Amino acid sequence: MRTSVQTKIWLAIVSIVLIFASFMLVFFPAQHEKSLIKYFNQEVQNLSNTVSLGVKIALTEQNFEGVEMAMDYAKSDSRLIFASMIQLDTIWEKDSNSYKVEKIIISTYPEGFEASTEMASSDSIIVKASPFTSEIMKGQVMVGFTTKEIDKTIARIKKTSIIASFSVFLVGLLIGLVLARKISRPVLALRNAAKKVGAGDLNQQVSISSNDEIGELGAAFNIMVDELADAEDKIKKKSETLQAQNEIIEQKNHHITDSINYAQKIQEAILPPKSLIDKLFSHYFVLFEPKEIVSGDFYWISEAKGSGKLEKEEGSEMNMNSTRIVTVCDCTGHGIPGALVSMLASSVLRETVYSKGITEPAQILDSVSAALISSLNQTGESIAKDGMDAAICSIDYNPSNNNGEYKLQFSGAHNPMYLVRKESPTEVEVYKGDFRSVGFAFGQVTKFTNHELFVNKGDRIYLLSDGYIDQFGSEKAGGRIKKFTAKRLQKLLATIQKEDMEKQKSILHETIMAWMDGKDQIDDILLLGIEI
Amino acid sequence: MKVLETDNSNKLMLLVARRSFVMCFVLLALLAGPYGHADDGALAIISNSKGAPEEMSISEMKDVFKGERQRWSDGTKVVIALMKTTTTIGNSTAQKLYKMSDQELNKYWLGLVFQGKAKAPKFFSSESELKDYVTETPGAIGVIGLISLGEGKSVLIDGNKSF
Repeated sequence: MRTSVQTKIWLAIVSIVLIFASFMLVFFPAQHEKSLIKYFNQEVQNLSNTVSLGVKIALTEQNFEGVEMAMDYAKSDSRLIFASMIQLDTIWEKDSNSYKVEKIIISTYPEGFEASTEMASSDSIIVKASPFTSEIMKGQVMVGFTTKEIDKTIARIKKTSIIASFSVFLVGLLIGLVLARKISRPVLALRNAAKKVGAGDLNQQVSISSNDEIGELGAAFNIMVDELADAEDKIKKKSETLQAQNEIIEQKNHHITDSINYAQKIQEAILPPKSLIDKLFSHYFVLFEPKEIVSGDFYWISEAKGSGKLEKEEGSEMNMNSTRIVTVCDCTGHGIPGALVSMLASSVLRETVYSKGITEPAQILDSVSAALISSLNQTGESIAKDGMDAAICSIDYNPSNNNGEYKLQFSGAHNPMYLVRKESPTEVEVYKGDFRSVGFAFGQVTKFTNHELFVNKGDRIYLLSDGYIDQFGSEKAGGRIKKFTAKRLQKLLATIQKEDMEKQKSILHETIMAWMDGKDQIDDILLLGIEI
Repeated sequence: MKVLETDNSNKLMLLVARRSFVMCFVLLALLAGPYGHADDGALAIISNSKGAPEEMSISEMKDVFKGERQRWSDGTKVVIALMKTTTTIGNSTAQKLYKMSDQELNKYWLGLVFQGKAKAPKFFSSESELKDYVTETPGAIGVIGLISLGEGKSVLIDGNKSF
């Protein structure tokens, strides 16, 4: 429940007034009544004692002035109901071992009042007795006083308490009214002003009518609103500047994106057209997922004739018995830098194969590496460490050269080649690339290793960059995010050999997407599969 | 009485002396008899010049001394003065006037005072004090021995000075 400041002030004052009124109406009269009864009892007892002493003196000295004076004093008190003089007679039993005290009232004032020796105090009367002893007699004086006067006094106190409480209540109401006006009004004005400021109106100011905390609050509010208005002006100006800069950046971004998009088209131009691949291989797939618009990964497929010279891809006649070269390259970085290096690497690769006529994969890599080092000026002091990883293989499709089998040569720079033979489809042969890159290399530069092997029709080879196997997924191992890994890919390939190449591409794509589970792709993905 | 006779003169002289002594004793006893009776029992009433009448009947006197009459005919307040019951006169007063013992007299007055029916008497240890008090107090009336009656105002009771 929401309670306003005004209500709280009222509640506080009403509570104080009620507490005071309760004290005045209940506690104070009760305490006063107790005191009155106590003192009245004491007063009656004292009077009884005085009369008793007077009686004793009268009996022993025959001086009646004391008792006369005490009785006159008692009789003058309108609260006196009775005063009795009681004689105590000790009556011994016949055996003289026990006795009883008999009380006889010998005189009572007022005459005719029916006093009893058994009278005791009650709500309406206070009875007190005082003993006396003389040679003549033994007895006691008993006096009874009405409590009506006390009741009247208490009633007067209650009346006074009610009047006092009512007066306090009225004063409380007045104070409450003044306080509520003095406190709640400026607070409400502050609240309303704050609401308007919250709604964006920074011209709000509150009037300050006091120099107390509320006045200070109002002054602080006004200063705050002024500073907010200044801050808003500054933000507006900065926002305008930022907007202008954003527009410039947007324009530049647009230009850059246009450039990159155009660069993509250029980069796509260096990739072999589908028509060429279709001519060279009946069954294959290319799973190519660049991380950005342009990619650092690229693949290149070509055909070499028996003489060693290669035909150009487009518009050329295909010799089904020729040697075919398949290359998967992963240039340093990705995006624009990767694309630039890939353009250079692609050019050098073509130059190596087309112009120099080199068809052996290891020689191709050695030649490309040397060309890149030269092109990127990686021999001087200022060494650019750019280069590429690659997997390259050549397949001799002339069965007569190899007793019905096809000769396959492979060389790799970091990147491997997987081979799954038709006769053992669950076994993945792994041909690892050398532990160095094409282009810049630390230490002594060694030549790439050339692997030779024979394959049969229906065997499947897979060339890949590291994008697929290094992709992080949602699974964690020891608190660290796991990569997909080469082993997992090999297992996957072993399980999908019943599928055709197109289906395999689909499975591989879905698997890596599921593995990423919405996470960012960390690198370009390139996986190329060919069925011999 | 038996007279002893002897043969010699000493015995005669002793006899004469003894007879003379007895005679004197009897004579003194006869002379002192009426006066001794008056000291023990005869009481007289004295009063202040204001208030009390010159003469009262014995019943009026009893009314006054029992506290039943509060004021004299001239309006003066009745003030009773008595000898303490420990004195001979006081004791005699209790018996003759009030027909009460000492204790009964005290209880009687205590009862009256307690109930406010009467003002208690003023009790004195000596008659001279009592007489002085009566002389000085308007409306006062007191009881003393007849023998102590002086020149002050006395009240006749049924025409007698004593009762």
